[in-house]
Amino acid sequence: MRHALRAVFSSLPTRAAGLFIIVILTVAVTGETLAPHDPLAQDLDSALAAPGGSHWLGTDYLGRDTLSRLVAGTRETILSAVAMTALGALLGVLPGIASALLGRWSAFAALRTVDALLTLPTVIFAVAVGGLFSNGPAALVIAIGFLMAPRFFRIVRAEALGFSRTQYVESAALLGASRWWIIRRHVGRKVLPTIAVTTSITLGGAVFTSSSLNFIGLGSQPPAPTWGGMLAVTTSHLWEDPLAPLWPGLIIVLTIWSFHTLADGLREGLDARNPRNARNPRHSRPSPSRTATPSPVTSPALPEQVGTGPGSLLVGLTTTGPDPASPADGPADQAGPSGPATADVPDTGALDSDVLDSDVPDSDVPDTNLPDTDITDADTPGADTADSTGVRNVADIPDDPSFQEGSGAVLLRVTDLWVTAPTHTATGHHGDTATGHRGGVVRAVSFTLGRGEALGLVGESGSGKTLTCRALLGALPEGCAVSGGTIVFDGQDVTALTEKQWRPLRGARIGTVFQDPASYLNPSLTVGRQLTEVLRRHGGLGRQEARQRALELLSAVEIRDPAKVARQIPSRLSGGMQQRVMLAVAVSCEPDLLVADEPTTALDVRTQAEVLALLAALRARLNMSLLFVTHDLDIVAGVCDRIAVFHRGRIVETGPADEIVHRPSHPYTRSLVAAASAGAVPAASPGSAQEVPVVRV
Amino acid sequence: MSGSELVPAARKHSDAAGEPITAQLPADAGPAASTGPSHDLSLADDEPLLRVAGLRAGFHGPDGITHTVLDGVDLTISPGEIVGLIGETGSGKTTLGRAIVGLVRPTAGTIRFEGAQIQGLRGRHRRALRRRGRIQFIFQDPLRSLDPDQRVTDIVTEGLAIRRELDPAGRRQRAAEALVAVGLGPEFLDRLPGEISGGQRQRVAIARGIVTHPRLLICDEPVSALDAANRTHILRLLARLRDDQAIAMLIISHDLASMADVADRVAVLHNGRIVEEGPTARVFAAPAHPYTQLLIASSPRTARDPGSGAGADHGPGRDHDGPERDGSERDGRDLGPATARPGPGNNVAGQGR
Repeated sequence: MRHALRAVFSSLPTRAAGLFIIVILTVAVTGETLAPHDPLAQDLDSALAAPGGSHWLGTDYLGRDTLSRLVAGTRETILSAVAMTALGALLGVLPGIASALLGRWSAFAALRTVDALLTLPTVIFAVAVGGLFSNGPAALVIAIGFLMAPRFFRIVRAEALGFSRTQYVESAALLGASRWWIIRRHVGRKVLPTIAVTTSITLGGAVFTSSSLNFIGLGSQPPAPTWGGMLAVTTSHLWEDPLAPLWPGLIIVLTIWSFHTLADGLREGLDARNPRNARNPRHSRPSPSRTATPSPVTSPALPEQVGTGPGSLLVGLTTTGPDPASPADGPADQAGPSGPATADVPDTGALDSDVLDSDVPDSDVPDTNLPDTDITDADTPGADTADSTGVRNVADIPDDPSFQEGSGAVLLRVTDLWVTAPTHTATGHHGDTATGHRGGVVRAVSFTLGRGEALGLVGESGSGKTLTCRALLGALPEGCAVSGGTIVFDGQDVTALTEKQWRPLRGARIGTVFQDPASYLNPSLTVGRQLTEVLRRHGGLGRQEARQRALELLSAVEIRDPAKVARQIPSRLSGGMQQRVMLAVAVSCEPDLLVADEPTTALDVRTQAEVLALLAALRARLNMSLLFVTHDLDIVAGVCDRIAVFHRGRIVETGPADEIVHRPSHPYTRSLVAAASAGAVPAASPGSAQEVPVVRV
Repeated sequence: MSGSELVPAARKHSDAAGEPITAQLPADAGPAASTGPSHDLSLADDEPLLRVAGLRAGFHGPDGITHTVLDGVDLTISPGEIVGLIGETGSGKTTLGRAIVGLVRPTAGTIRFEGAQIQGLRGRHRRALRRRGRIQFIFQDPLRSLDPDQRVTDIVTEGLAIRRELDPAGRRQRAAEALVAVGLGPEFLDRLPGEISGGQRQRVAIARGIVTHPRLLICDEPVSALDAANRTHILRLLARLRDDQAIAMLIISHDLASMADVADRVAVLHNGRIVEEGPTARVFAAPAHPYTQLLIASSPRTARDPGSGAGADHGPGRDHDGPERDGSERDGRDLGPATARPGPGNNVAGQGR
């Protein structure tokens, strides 16, 4: 709760608005007792007095103190606004939630009733009610509150409808829950933020409406002070006292602004907890801290790294060598990272164990079997390819025979990358939360990707592979930040680019494919339209050319009837087809690098095999480099030349794909291989599976 | 799902390719099965826990075309048996699972559970059945099937709370027991789903499923949202729960290989029909139906053996995966024996129109 409040009032405007609302509400409750003068006392001698003296804001044409009337009018105006809103919420909220869970016919009836109410014009309805009953404030409150109900109804219904279709509501229904149970236990609570936001906006609207009605003489009658009434009186003496309408006008505007600003704050603060928002990666923007100069020294997450000798060597390297990527000095700076990156691992045991506590029962290679120290065990058994540090690895790769170092061949070089995640944030990604408690979620990751090369990043969920990828795209989720290291893409340091500087790179030079194509394609535009849009924007093609090229691309991704598919909206296509379309979009500008993050995980096996083959074919045809992220060791071998294995934020093993799959040297890799094959055929890697037996649950 | 008269009238079942290939199992129905619910084939040894007979389901597409999703499915599950239901996207496997628990209304056929007919129950009767908790459903993605604002203890015991069983303290005790049964400690009781990892979430979902002591657990792709290590362990957990508590299970999966260690029997669903069914070992060793052969061949796991390279070996396939809704129009008839070989030439489940 306190957390939510802090989130709501995180920005200065919301704080100001909140403060103003508190003042206004206090004044509304205490009313005339705060007023310096009697708001009704006339003093014709000092009529239309200018501000100053005992009348801070001057007087009106009857010599009544403006400030006192404003203070006294607050009660009338605010209380009627609150009453209207409360009535509207009362009549709208519960029926709104209920209608989302009702059968089709009752929902239909409710909706049509509400539609009818919405057609009533507010002011005329209020005038009519005033005329029918009494022209008093109560009649006005009832009339306006009645008209506000549909608004609550519709908003709350739409929101509740979304939640009522979630799987946890379905789960509850499968347990035999009644509708009332579902409202109480699942939907009601989720709708609360929406109700709060709507209430705040509606309060602003109610202040406006009641002031307007007072202005035209409805509701409270003179001499009782209201803001609207004061505005009316002062505007009629505009020639004598042109400043006078300012005060009631200002307070009306400020009040409405405050309610609306508060609504914005509520929406952002309360919705941040809403997983539906966190889930959509399109919302993720680089956080401001990303743009800070990356300097491992200043990062609090790196004590153990700074402590070690080789670590400090590294620090010097990253800070003093601003452009380690220029092809010329490639080999020179490689000697650095490859040594220290392995050497700085051992003292992370403590960090690891508390970061990952919550993960332990689940990563079923228990700590006894795979203590973190294993990562650096000099005598990793059976590691015939291991180098002197004991791990085949790490980072860059001069000692990796599969990578041919040479000037111009390096497309992407990641050096000692650190990414930190906020504490206890539900990012919505599987598993990322479990490791996101503190410290780095990507820790000292280094690798190099050559032109035309395919590198697989493999690891279980939460191992940091996806965040590494997002860092490469400058699209880390909210709250995550690069806290150290450099990313150099084609000779350009992209570690600290701004969103604007990223734009020409993304799409045009770096293409991306993600696990869930449906959420990246615009559901309401046809496939052809989306493709042509990209082509026209990035490729600068004309309308006709772009259309032609789009069809070519669709057939390039092996869609049999491109013209027909181009006319479809994404939801009409199967998952495999959507992924093909995503691929078409990704390669439309013939990027140098394609980042594929679990592109086939959501597909069934046959489609998966086809998409993988397509990926390989496209890569060959366009001579793209490929960064392929997956948790599935099985599929990566066929697609990638080399594999980097992620574990708990680090790369624990790098090597040629076949080598890793068939002769893994690191214990964690072996457990991965064993796990992958345990479910199916006997282990494919002779002599490895039995050394790290997967423990029984 | 709408409408009750959307069974396409004349669908020929006599076509050789579309017919269930029968194995020597008591559960087997034979060709006559797809004609309707009337036949009674209960074989001597044991009365099945669940008997689905001649089940059909479908929906009206937006273009007014009626799509058949299930086209006469017969399936039985005996007490304590694990049946793997295999099929690709759009084959109707999820619809079958949802129809059994009443989330999809079948248009024809019968579903009998513990001897009582349960299809077509509505309102209070459906709720009463569900509150008994004898059939439980595990969703694919635990992130979505667990209420993010509820503590684990409340999630796990929701079924008990709904039927007002025990007091809060007693329910908490039961939640702790269920958590232990799925390999989680009591320290998880007060966590939120957002605070635990994907595999742990699925364990919580399973704990919710077993806390009511069900006889039948229907798991819809229980591991496909998890990474490789967790997959194995969740599947083993399910197998162990069966051993300990004699819970029968229907495990729905697109991944034939993952069923090898877990299921006693597998049924392969293709275009809304079960095209092959039999003991797991038999189906793996000698898949009789061409579609099953294809599934086994295209599994990356089986292809990863040394020497064979990788999943990408299967050649650039065609865009077989046409608009998903076209499931009804892809026909089992496409599956001639000649097309069993995976590769560009095959026309299996070719694009719908």
